[in-house]
Amino acid sequence: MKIVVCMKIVPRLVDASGDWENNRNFRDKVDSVINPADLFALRVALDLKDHYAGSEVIVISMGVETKASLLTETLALGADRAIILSDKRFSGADTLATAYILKCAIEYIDNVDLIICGMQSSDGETGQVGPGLASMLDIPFVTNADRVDGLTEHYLQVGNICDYCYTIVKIELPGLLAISNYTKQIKLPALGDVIRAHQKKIEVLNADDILADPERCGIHGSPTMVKKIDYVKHCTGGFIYNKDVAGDAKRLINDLSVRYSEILFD
Amino acid sequence: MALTVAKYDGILIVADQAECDVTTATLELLSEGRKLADKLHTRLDIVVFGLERSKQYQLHTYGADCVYNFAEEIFNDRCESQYIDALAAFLTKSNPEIVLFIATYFFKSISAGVASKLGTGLTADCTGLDVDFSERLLYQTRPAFGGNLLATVVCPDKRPQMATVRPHIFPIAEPDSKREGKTEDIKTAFWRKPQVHLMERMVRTQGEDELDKYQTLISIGRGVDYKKCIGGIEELAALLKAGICCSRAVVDAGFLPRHQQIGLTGSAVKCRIYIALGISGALQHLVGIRAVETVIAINQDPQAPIFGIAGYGMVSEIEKALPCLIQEVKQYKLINNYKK
Repeated sequence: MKIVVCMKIVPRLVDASGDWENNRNFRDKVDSVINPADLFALRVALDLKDHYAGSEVIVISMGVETKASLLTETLALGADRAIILSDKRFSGADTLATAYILKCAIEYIDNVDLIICGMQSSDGETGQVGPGLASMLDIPFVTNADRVDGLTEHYLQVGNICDYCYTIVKIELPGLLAISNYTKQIKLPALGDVIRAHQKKIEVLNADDILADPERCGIHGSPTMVKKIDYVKHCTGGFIYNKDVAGDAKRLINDLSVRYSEILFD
Repeated sequence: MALTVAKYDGILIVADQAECDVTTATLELLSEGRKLADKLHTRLDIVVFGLERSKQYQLHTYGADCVYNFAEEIFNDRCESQYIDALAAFLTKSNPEIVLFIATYFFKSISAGVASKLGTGLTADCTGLDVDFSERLLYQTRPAFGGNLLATVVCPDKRPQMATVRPHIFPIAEPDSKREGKTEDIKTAFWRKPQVHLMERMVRTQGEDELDKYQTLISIGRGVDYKKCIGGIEELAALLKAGICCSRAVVDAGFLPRHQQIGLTGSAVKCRIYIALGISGALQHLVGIRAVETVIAINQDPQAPIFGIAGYGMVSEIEKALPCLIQEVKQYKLINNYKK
């Protein structure tokens, strides 16, 4: 089974600096990490690989080449290949253009059985790329999956957190999963795996390699644009204690007992 | 990019339904949609899925001009690709200029699929909407980049303009019993076979509804050393009969499940007391606690924005504050019981 994991490199701490007129923040200048939800996605892929011999896990990520080394971690964890999709023409992509670029990359990889994404990125927080990508590829998807149970040749059984219930569904392959929360944590790689990972190359592909139409990439292929940015002003609040912990706790509980005794202490 | 904007007209809302009726979030969005439609001098329509006729009529009183009912049985299964195909086909025919969805898990996926099929823009989790009459633009406002700023997003060259909107943001208008409208059943011409098959459906035992039961919630943030503090937090929660929830960082770290997350991409709660431990108060998080009566913030950073909205606050490391609070609560209870 060929599994592609879509991963995003995000700022470690999300801040507000950016070049807003061009729809970008300064990704190349900040300290970056792999999007936490995407590590859940990778773990699901690696678990499937453990169970089904002959599986291949390929990580793809759209981003600047200078951050490509972060993907080495995915190789150390057990991914077979890591590809960074890097091109100036990709810059400024909204969720539609991002989904398009990932679609081109997946078609370039070819014969992909399963695509796994994190449910959302920690910086954009839209959750739109996974389902958008699946629709472009015209394959079924399950977003908000938290369990992957069984695999037969054509189906994958997954647990799906829905708005008003929880369901177990069977999804036909090829298909796409967006993982919201996976019970198993990502393990730390062994030292030997880290050393071996550093000997592998991160593949770099541009728009021409993946036969992407530049008009549908980056800022050109993005229908949405940021019109205006407002900085949030925080108002001043109520009673804030900042002296000694024990005394502060006493005053706080005393304050609360005056107003909320029946809720808190009965 | 040449765009014949004139071809597109009207605002369309896609209803969220549970237990055979539209959700309150749908009525909120209808109420707001009516205002926007009036500003644009256009109509407001709504798509529902197998909704009883009498309940369709009720939607007129909240401002819907036409109710389009997708009545076919297949919509009962909430199968994403069927919804996406049906809506994409319907939008291609009806050409609304704006389509609004409620930001549930389900409709966030559906809207992304539809936008992708139509090649148009989609803005997630909006907390504010406005329109420009002369340019026929929808201003879509959402918290961005750690919640330090609000971004207003537009989609100038593609139609329809699409957004998902957070529940519990807009008030529900008074229904106007005199307002009338049309209803129409929509038949979908083409079905592909479902490719996601339902095996089992469970009512969630824990989840957003669970959090709604509590009058007090203790929320755990990034600033809490989870492993060291969880014992104390659970003890305090038991003393105060409080539920436990968290910010996104705690979910991402794998400590608590997603349904306990509060904020933009989690739940919105309306408890009376919200005790925020080690939560900085990014706007993303604050979106989820707008309806809370009193916020109590404990954070070691006196500059943390959470103190700006807190009714009460304590500047302290959580690890140090917890044992003091537990002791004070126990002592208060002891004295109180003795008095009784």
